[in-house]
This record gives sequence, structure tokens and C-alpha cells, in this order.
Amino acid sequence: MKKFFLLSIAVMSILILVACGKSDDAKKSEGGKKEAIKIGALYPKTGPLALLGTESLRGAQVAVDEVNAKGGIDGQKIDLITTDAGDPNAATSEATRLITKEKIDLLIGSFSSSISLPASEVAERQGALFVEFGAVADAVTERGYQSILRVNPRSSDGLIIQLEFMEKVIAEQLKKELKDVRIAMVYEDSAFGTTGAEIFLSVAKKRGFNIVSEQPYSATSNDLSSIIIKLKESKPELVLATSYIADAILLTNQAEELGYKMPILLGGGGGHPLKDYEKAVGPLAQGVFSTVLPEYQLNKDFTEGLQEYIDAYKKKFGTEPQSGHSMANYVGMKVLIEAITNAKSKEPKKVREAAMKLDIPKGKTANGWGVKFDEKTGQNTRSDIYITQWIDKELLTVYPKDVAVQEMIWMK
Amino acid sequence: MLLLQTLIAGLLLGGMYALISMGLNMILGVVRIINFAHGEFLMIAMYLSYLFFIWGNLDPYVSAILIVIILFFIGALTQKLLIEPIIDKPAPTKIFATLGLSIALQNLALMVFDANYLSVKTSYQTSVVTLFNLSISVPRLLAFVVAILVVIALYYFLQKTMVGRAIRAVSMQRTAAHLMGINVKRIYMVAFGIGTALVGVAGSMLLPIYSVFPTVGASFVLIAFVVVVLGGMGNMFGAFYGGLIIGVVESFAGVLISPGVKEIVYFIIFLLVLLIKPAGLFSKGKGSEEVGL
Amino acid sequence: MKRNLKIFNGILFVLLVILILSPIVLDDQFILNVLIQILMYATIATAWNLLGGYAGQLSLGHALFFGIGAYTATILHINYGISPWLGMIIVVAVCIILCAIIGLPTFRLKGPFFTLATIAFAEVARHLALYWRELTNGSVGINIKFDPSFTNMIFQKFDTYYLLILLLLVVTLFITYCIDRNKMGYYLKAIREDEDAAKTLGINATKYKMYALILSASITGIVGVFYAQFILFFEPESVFNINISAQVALIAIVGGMGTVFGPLLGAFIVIPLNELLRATFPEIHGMNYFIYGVLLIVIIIITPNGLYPILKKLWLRFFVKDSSKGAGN
Repeated sequence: MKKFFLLSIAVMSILILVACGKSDDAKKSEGGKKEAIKIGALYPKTGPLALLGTESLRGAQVAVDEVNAKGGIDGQKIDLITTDAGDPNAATSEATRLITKEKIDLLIGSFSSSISLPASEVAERQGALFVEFGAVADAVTERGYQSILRVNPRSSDGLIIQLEFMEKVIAEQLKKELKDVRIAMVYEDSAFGTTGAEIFLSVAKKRGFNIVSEQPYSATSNDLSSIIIKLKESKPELVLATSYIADAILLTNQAEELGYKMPILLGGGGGHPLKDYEKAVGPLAQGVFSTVLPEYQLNKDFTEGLQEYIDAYKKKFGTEPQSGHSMANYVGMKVLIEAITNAKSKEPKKVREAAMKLDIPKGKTANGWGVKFDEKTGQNTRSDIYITQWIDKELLTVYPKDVAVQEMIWMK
Repeated sequence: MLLLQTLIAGLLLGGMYALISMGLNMILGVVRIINFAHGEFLMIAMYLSYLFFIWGNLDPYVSAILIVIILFFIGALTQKLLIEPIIDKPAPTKIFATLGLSIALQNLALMVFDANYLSVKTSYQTSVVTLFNLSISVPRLLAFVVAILVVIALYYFLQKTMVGRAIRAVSMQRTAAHLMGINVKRIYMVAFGIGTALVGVAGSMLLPIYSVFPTVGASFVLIAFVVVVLGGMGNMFGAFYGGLIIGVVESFAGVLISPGVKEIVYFIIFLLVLLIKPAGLFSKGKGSEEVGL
Repeated sequence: MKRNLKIFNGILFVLLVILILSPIVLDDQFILNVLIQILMYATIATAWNLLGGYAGQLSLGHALFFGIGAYTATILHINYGISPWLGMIIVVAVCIILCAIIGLPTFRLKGPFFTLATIAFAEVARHLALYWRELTNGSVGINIKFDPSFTNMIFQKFDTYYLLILLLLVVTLFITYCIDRNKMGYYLKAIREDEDAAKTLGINATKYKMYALILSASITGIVGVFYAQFILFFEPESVFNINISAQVALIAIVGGMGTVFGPLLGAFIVIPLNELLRATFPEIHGMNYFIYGVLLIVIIIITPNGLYPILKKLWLRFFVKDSSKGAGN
């Protein structure tokens, strides 16, 4: 019997090695020429993050198509190897597979810090380069790793603009000092909502803001009536909500159901600025502010290439972009492509060096961002969050002035 | 006032939970399997309701009738094709078969509909009835009323009709029922079908309130299990009250403590019930949980 | 005849050792990574099997112990500088206490109720980890700085990790083998088949179920520590997830519950299948998991007792035919 056990283990091991070799043939890719520059893309395409994960990937794909149409980088086409990194374990597995098996040293992603963090750990360990285009948690660029670059702004960067907006615009409107405004915080409890809330709370403590209620909740909750009831009780003048889409819709609808007139609502990105939100809540979306990665109604003087991007997206995917995430990835991908072009190499160290030398002023990219990476952390210091507002079914950028297309409106 | 509003919100939520759980109750009570795909049947019902609305302009409350029928057949088919072949196999086999079904259905929905959050727009969606400063949402109230009607209808079905009594017989003692001449296999199909049809009702009632997306079932399925255990397996009124209790507890926990700890609270209640009175709060003493599957 | 058998055994053994060491010799980091995942799950599944396959108590909450292992050792490491090696021992102690608290009341439950209780415990742990931010950093998760050293249990290359998890697996298999051949194994199987009958024969069901649970939980906790030191980042979702519990149980079931090597076989099938499917079909979203779900159903229906017994039967037929041939000559 023991002989049988040993033999079966041996046979199994052989089978696995063979299978792993075979999976080489099974991989799918775009482009596929021998000389191509392969870049691995780690995005959540299944699971709860699928909607915006897919949207984010699309932006990168548009950028790759654009460059390949012009012959690629120095004649070499870009081959974007897409994978499904729906959760941290998948992210680690896929990153490891791309680097150690497919021998790809340049990775992009990811929309979510729960994917970015583990993937960049792998990159650091294996000496690869991971360029992040969408995840906002500060921690991603705070580890002192040489393996990470981030094009999009961090939560704390967004906070600065948000505070400015709250002080100069909202407080103005309410005719009060910002520290006298009654503020309520409502946020979903994953890394996305919690990091945003925590950094705001630390600032709020320092500056003595009046937080009348603070309510974390689970994004998969079926019922947020307790939140609305407590809001009714605490009577805030400004509600800061960080939600994904299902909960954003639920919150707005349940406020209406429970007869609560939502005061000024400032959403922290996530669900509030999405098309599906407006489609679901209709007129209730009117007047809702959001802090966002740049969306599409932007001042055209400040955004070079914006319309071309929208057209290219529509042509490739047959619909309007769902959110600004794709554009952030488009801009980010183009930055990476430029770095590779300048480096004349796809070696992670050289690409990073070339990226450090980039110096693009704000207003020269499709979404208005500039590019200047911090040498120590790998964070782009010239990307911004903007403030948008739903006005008559359109998501218009209303702040900062450089990128705004319209003045904000105030609900009675 | 605050507390009263919380109570109302809790009851309305509980009504929905009850509606979703009754189908599971029937299946768990009769066929005795943990159906992990229960949430996905809810998802299917909601997608169907959405499609009827988009293509046929049918209001979800109207198309509910069609959906109930369609889901009955889906349930019966699932029983015949998936469960029957493995009915006598060890419990883990049955559990994992439904788990596989759950994964397959979730991702099938993802492939067909994409990850978008789809919802319907009806005129009465956000209508509210106001009573002494208390707001009661109309669609939720309707769901609550339907839940009551369904429980009563089920009760009479199980008590007074031949098929109903056969179902009860099978759920109490399968072998004896078989010896009495009841076609157990057919009863299983009917029970599974009814259980799924009940979920169809729930889905139709839910669409005006929630959006549908591929993983929508996952957020309801664990609660459904909690409710069923709380109320007592096979006990229809128990499931109804169990749903209300969970809804109210959730609502109060959210307001009095924090919305974040709601889940911990009802899981703890769940564990307490399991450990103290596993037959459920409303059953008359020891039940089949002592006998196992 | 006996000499031939010995030579055959010897050759097989050498082949096995070569196979096991080959990834290190070939320095294939990718294969090592896959193997580490497989062996990790194989170890947990074998541990699970003690409770699920032998004692017949189907747990879908093993992620509870996995997560406790990861968090306990890591918090002690980061806050108090305690080496993960020592952390492993502390984790075992914690798991034993946890088992006593959880096991005693839940062992009264039968069948699906026991399973539901295990799910509930793991979910409570997950929510606690999410909300007790001061302790666990909440949903942001914990990041372990990449600082390779032996005391830190962090290594630059995968080789050492591979050998470590291999050791854990072999020890677990050995424990299972011993139990299988021993009095305890018989008692557990008796409990599984008919607990009431076993009790009437004088077997203290609760005591033996508790032994199985403690072993099962402690091993799982230790693998949790290993995982944390391997991946260097985790959060409540990635270690207390019900999918982990389900995957572990699935591996044991597909491989063969109640057998020593069944879970190992299951791991070698399920994990590469997962990886392979994920790498294929990147364009059609969800196709990979859809196929996974369908395959799951098919496999479960075709092999309700797992693959291992089937392979064993086939081998016996082959083997028996051979020896009868020899005897005839």
C-alpha cells in the first residue's frame, strides 16, 4: 500500500509540473508579436470590485491601442497581459505568476489598495516595477519601496482639495466658519472608506471641527435606515459620505423613504459620481457633490486630449465611459509608456529612473494632471482630485476653478 | 419618536427577511440540504423582474406572477437534476453541489449582465406614507404585507391540502411517508419548487427597493440561514417571526450602537440560539437538529 | 520476490526525493510559488480532515483558526518583537483555548447545524477584526516589512518557505497516519458513522471530537502564521474569508475524506485548477469562475467520496491482476 501512496504522489507531482508548463499556451494576450513589450495588468474583473476594476482597465487598454496604432514604442508593440485579481490572494498569485513565469517585470493596476498592497509586495521581493493608476490609500506609497510608482493622487491629497472646497465654498455658502458647520460622517468599512474617514477625522480633531455623528457601516448592508434615523437626530448641515455604489443608492433612497431631506452631501468618490447612481436615484442625485478622479465635464482649456480620449473609448467599447477611473488609467498608462520610451529599456530600474526625470506641468494631459514623481516614495505630486456635482443629470466639474465648467448650484 | 421610527424600520426590514427566508425554510425543512445557491435564486428572480420591466414594460408587482411560475420550475429542475442524483450521498457532497451552483450562477450573471447595478424606475418607488411624523416606505410596506399573506397562504396549504400534508409528512419522517405510499421524490421536487417560487416572490418585491447585480444574493443568504434557524426549521410562522426579530435587532443595533456592528449582533444571537435552543425559538421542543440530516 | 519489491520501493523513494527537491535545484520560483500554495492548502485540508473526514463534523469555519494564527503571531511580532517561531507556539495555545470555548457547546449540534455554527464563528471573528481597529488595523490590513532573516521567518527566495511548509505537511500527514492506524482513528470513525451507537459502546464522543478539533485547529493556526510571513500583507477579508473555509473543505472532499492522502491529492487538483482557470479567459469576465462552479458540481456528483478511493480501486485492480499473473507462472 505504501508503494501505491508514494507512486501516486510522484505521478501527481509530474502531472502538476506538466500542467504548469501547459498553462503557458493557455494564456491570452492582446497583440502577441514576438518582439512585443509585455506589461502585466492586475485589475479586479470579478467579484464586488468588478464594475470599476473593469472600467479602470479599459483606460489602460485605450492608451495601449493608441500607442500601438502609431507603431508602438520604437517599433515594438505593447502587449498588455490582463489578469483577474479580484482579491488580495489572487493579486499575489497573479503578480507572482506574471513575474516568475511570464517573466514580465512591468506591472500596472489596480483600482483598489487591497490589490495594490499585496501586488507591490511581490514586486518589491522580485525586483519588478508596479505602477498604480487608481488606488488611493496612502499606505501604498509609504513603505519606502523602490518597486512602486503611483500616478494618481492619494487620499491625503484629496483631503487637501476637499478641505479647501469645504472652507472656501461650502462654509461660505452657509455663511459660517468651517469649524462651526455641523458635519456628519458616513462611511463604508473597508479600506476605501476607513482610510478616508480616518485622515479626515485626524484633521477634524486638530482644527476643532464639529462632527455631530460618525457612522461606519458595511457596504453590503441591506438596510441603512439606522444611519438616516441618526442623521435626522443629529441635524447636520453637511454630510460627508464615502460609499460604494449599492450603498450610495440605498442611502439616498432610504433618506427619501424616511422623509429626511439630505443637507449638502459631499460624496468621497466611490459610488456617488457613477452613472449607475444617477440612473438609479434620478432627481434625488441633483446637487450631490463628489470628490473624484477627474471626470469628463472638464474645462477643455486645461485638458489636452480629453475629447480624443472619450471618442477613442466610445469607439472601442461602444458606450460612454462609466466613470473617471478609466481616464486616470489612460493618463497613467501614457506616463508609463513615455517613461519606457525615454528609458529605451523595459528594465524596472531604468524605467523608474526615466519616470523620475519626467516633468509635465498640470493641464497638459487628458485629465489636467501633471507629472512629477517624488524620488523617495514614487508618488506623483501633480495629480489632483476634483469636485463634481450632479446638475440636471450631468456630472459637472465645479472646483477647482482651473478645471471647472460651471458654477455650483445650491439646493433649497 | 426616534425609537418608534427605528422599530418601524426594523419591522419593515424584517418582513423582507422573512419573505426571503421562507423559501429556504421549506427547502431546509423538507429536503434537508443547506442550499448555498438560495441567494442566487433570489438574484435570478430579480434579473427576470428587471428584464420583464425593460422589455415588456411590466411592473414588478405584475410580473411577479410569471416569475413565481418560472422559479417554481427552476427549483423543481434543480432538485431533479442536481440534488436527486446525490440525495443519499454524504452531507458534504450535497452542500458543495449547491456551492458550485452558487458560484456558477453568480458568474453566469456576470457574463450575461456585466457587473452593473441595474434598477427599475416606478412611480411609487419612493412614495412614503406618513403617520404621526413616522415615515413608512410604500414598497417596503407592500413587501411586509405580502410576507404576511404568504405565510398565511403557506400555512393553509400545508395544513389543509393533500400535497401540503404530504410535504409535512415527508419532512417529519421520510421513510414512514414513503411506506405510506407518498412519492417522496416528487414531493421533494414540489417542495424545492415551492421554496424557489417563494424566493421569486421575494425578488419581485425587492426590485423596486434594491438594485440587482451578480453578487446581490450573497448579502442576503447568510441572514436567511440565521432567520431559519432562529425561527425553527420547517416552521413557517417561526420563520416569519424570526425575520421580524432579526430586522428589529439589526435596526436597533444600528441606531443604538453603530451600523458597523449590526452583523456581529445578529451572528451572536444566532450562535446563542444554536447553542441554547437549536430547534428554534418558536418550535415546541427538540426537533430534527438532534437527529441531524 | 521480496528483494524485487525492496528495490522497487527504493527506486520509487529516490524518484520522490528527486521530484520534491527539483524545483529548488532548477531554481524555478514560479513552480515553487505554486507548490507552496498547494502544500499550504494540503496541510490545512489534511488538518480539516481530522475533524471533517474522520470525526464526521463538517466545519465551514476553519478560516477562524487560520486568521487567528495570522493575526496573533503578527501582532505579537510587530508590537512586541516576538519571533514568529515562538508565535506559532503561542498560536497553538490560543487555538486550544478557543477550541474549548467553541467546541464544548457546538458539539451538541448535529449535521447542518454544526456547520452553520462554524460559519457563524468565523464571521464574528471577521467582523471583530474589521471593527477592532486599534488591535488589527481594521480593513486596511497589516503589512509586514520585508526584512529577511531567520528569526523574522522572512526569506528572500521561496526555497526556504517551500521546505518549511513541506515539513509542516509531512508532520501533519504523519499525525493523520498515526491516528488512522490507532485506537483514536477507530473511535473517530465510529463517531462519524453513528455517534449514538458509538456512545452506547462507551466511547466518550465529546472527548475524542475535542481532540480532533484541537489538532485540526492548531495546525491550521500554524499555517496561518506561515501564510502571514509568506505573503507579508493580509486583512480580515483575506484570512477570515468563508471562501477559504469552503476551499479547504472542498479540497478534502474532492481528494477523499477520511483518508490520509486524500486531501493532499485534492490540493494538487483544486489549486492548479484554480490558477489555470484564472489565467485563461481574461477577456470574458466571470467565465473562469463559472467553469470552476460547473466543474465543482460535476466532480462532486461523479466522485461523492473523493478521488482517492477511486484511484485506489483502479490501482488494486491493476496490482491484483499483476500478482495473479505472477502466481500463475
